[in-house]
Amino acid sequence: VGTTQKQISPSFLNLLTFVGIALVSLSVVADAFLPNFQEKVFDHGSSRVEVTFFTNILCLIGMSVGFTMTGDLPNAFAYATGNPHAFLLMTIYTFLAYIAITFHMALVKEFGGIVTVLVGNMRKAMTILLSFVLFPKPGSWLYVFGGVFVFGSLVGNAVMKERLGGGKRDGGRDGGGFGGM
Amino acid sequence: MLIAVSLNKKTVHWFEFMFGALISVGMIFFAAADFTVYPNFDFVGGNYTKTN
Repeated sequence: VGTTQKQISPSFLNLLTFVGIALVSLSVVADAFLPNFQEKVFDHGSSRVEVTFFTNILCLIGMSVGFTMTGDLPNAFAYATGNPHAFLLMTIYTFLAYIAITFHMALVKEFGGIVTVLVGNMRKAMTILLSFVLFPKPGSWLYVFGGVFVFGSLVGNAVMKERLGGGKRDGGRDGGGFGGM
Repeated sequence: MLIAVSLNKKTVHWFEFMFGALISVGMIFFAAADFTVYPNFDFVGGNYTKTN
């Protein structure tokens, strides 16, 4: 969500709004498919490194072509080369993202796509909590309700799984238990 | 979860669907909190100034 003020005609704004919402919706659907496809590839015997490499190399090719066509890639290069501090931050981000992707793939391989998505949601909630520490901002009770729903649901799911498993740890591929988290 | 059931033939319990939906509700609460904390937050993602 951008906060930049730009002059733009109402009809073009409506088009941008529609295209934006359509792209975000498409992204959500693609996000739902991705870990399931990765899990299927793991079932065929591929290693974590192979899946990580090909997922990201295909993404790199697609984004490079797409952003070159839209003209965003040259702009991004110009910004990065003109701002050494931003370049440094992006480099650090790249290393951290590699570690995150490695853990993500390990989760998909070990526990399956559903658990990975739920863990990812917990990560998002923790990112919001951490942002309060790093970037102080006004509070809202809605954040508290959100936290209760997210963390409560994760705990509830773990408790239900534990009861179904008779107290046994069920962190295998098919069980996908939270006991293994 | 629906894709996991249909594509990967996974067994997903009813409570997993329920808690998955509740987690989504929690994320909606987080987004709604952002609406209230940031006055110029635009629900449809374009904080533009319209021209006449």
